[in-house]
Amino acid sequence: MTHPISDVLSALSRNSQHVASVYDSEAQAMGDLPKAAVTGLRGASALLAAGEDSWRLHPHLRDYLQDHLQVFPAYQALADLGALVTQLAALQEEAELAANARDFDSMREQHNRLTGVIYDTHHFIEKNLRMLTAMLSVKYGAVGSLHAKAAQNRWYQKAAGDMSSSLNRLSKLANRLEQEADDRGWDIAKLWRLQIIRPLTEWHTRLADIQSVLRQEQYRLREVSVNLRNLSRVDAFFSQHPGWSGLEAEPPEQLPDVLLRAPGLRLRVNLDPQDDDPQVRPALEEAARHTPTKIVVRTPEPARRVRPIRDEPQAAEQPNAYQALLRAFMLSVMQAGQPVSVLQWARAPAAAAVLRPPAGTAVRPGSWLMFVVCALNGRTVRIQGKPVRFEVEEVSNPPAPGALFVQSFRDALVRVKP
Amino acid sequence: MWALKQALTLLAEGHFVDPIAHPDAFDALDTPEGRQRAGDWLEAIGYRLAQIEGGGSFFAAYQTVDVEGRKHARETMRNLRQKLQPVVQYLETVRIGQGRASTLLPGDDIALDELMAAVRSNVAFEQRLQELRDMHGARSNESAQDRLVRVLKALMDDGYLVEMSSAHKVYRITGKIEWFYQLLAFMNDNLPQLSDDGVVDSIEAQLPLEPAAGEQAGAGIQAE
Repeated sequence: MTHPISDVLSALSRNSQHVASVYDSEAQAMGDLPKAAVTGLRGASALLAAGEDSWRLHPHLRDYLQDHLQVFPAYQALADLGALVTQLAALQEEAELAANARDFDSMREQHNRLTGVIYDTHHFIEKNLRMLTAMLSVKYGAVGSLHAKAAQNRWYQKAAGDMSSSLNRLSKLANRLEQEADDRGWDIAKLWRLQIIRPLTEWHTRLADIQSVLRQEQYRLREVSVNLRNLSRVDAFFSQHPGWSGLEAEPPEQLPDVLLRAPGLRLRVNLDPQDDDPQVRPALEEAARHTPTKIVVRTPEPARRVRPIRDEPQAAEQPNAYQALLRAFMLSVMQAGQPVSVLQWARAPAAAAVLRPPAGTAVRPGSWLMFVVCALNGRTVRIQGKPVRFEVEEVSNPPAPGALFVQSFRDALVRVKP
Repeated sequence: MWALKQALTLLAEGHFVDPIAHPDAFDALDTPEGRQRAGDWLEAIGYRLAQIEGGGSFFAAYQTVDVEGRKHARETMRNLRQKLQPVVQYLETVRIGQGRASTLLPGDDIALDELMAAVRSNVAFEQRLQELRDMHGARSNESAQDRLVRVLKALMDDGYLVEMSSAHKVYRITGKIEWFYQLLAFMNDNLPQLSDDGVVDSIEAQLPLEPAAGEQAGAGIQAE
C-alpha cells in the first residue's frame, strides 16, 4: 500500500520544470502550462488559481522552496500575518456558531482548521523574525549604493512596523479567543496558550530589538550621507576659493570639543649630557638613576653532561726484587738492634728464607750493595706506621799501595739511628 | 597597565585613541577606572579627556576655555584650509574612486586593487588624481596609480588610515575621521557659502514652447 503523499511527490517530480517556472514567475498565465501538468499539479494541490487567468504555487510549497534555496534578495516580503489573524477570528467564530447550533461535526471541522492556522501563525511569526534577523546580519542583502541601502532600510522598517501592528492585533484577539474557548471547555484554549499567548512577549521583544537596530542603521546612513555631502562641498569650495584661508569670525561662546583638541606635548628627553652646569648635573644623575636597568637575558646553557671517568683496574705491580729484599732487610736491621752487614745478610741462610725474589728476577751483590746505600743512607722510612731513620756506614777497601785515599767500598753496615 | 601607559602617551602626543588603530589603548581608556586615571593625569597638565560623540575616539582637549583655549580655537578656525585641504582632497578622491558604495566610516576597508580598477575604468577619477596639487614629492609625469599610492600613504601618515595587509595593500579607516567630519560640519555651519540656509526649493514657471492659440510668432511686432 502506497502512502497518500507518494502521489503528490510523484506529481511534483513529473512536473518539476513547470513548478520551477511558476515559482520563478510568481503567477503563470493559464495558457502557458500544458493541460496534463495543470491536472497533475492541481490534483496534488500544488497549483492554485490566481485570478481568472493565471496560476500560482501553493504558498506553503513556495515557502518551502524559498527556505530550501535560502534566497536573500534585497527586498524580501514577510509573510502576511494580518490575513492569518483575520482567518483565526473567523474560524473561531464559525466554531462558536456551530457549537451554538449543536452542529458538532462542523464544530470539530472548524477546530481542526483552527488548529492548523494556529500552528501556521506560530510558524510564520517565527519565520518572519528569523528572516528579519538574518537580513540584519547580512545588512539586508547586497545593494549597490547608499541610496539603495537607505531605501532598503525603509522597506524593512515598514515591514517590521506592519508586523508589529499585526502582533498587537493578534495579542488582543488571542486573549479574547482563548478566554472564550476556555469558557466552553475546548482543548483549543490550550493550543492558544502554548502556541500564541506564551511566546507573544518574546516575539514583541525580538521585534522591538530589530526595529531598534533598523532605526540606528537609518540614522547612521543619514549621518554618512551628510558627512559625504559636507566633504564634497568643502572640496568644491576650496577649489573655487583659492584665496580663502579660514574663518575670521570670533569663536562661538560655547566652544565645541572639536576646536579644543590640544596640541601634542612633543615629549622628548631635554637633557644635554655634556652640560656641566651644577644645576643640570643632579638632574642628569637623577635621570640616570631612574633609567631602567638593562635586563640581560641569559640564555640558559644546556646542562653539561658529566660522565664519570673511572680508571681501569690495573694489575697489581709485580714487586721489584730489590724492593722486596730491601723491605726484609730493613725489618732485620730493626730486629737486630746492632749494625748489620748488607752483603753478609744477603748471603746468610736466614735471609735466603726471607728473601723470595719473584720468578725470573735475580739480585747481584754489587748492585744490591749500591741500592741499599742509596735507599737508606740518611733517609727516614715509614715502616708499620712508624718513621724509622737508618744510618749507613760504608766498609772501605784498603787503599792502593802509595795512595792516600780510598775510592771504593766493599760492604756497608746499616743500623737504626736512635 | 601597559595599555593605559600607551594610551596616556598617545593622548599627550596629541594622537587620537580609537578602537581601530589602537584597540588595546582604547579598551584601557574605555573603563571608569581608565577614564578616571587619564582624566587625573591630563588635568595636571591643563588638559582633559574628551571623546567623539557616540563612543568614538578619545583625545586630549583644553581643560577650561580660558584665554589660551580661545586663542587655540581662533587659530584653528583661521587655519582651517591649511588643516583640512590635503585631507579633504585626498578623501574626496578616495570617495570618487569608490563610487556609490563609498561610506568612508571608521572601520571601512580600502583596497588599493579596487581603487586601481577604478582608475582604469573611471576617466574622471584618473583625471582627478592627475590634478591633485601640493602632493609631497609628487612628480608631474608620474602615473595615476603612483599618485593613488601617495594619497593612501599621506592619509596613513596623517592617522586617518592604518595598513591592515601590507601584502595586499588593504587599509582601514580609523576613528580620527569622525573628528574630521565634525570639523567639516562646523565649517559648513559657519560658512555662508556652504550653508543651506536661505536655499528655497522652488519650481520656476516656464513659458510655453508652443504659442498659445490665436497668437502669432511675431505678434509683438506692430505691423505697419
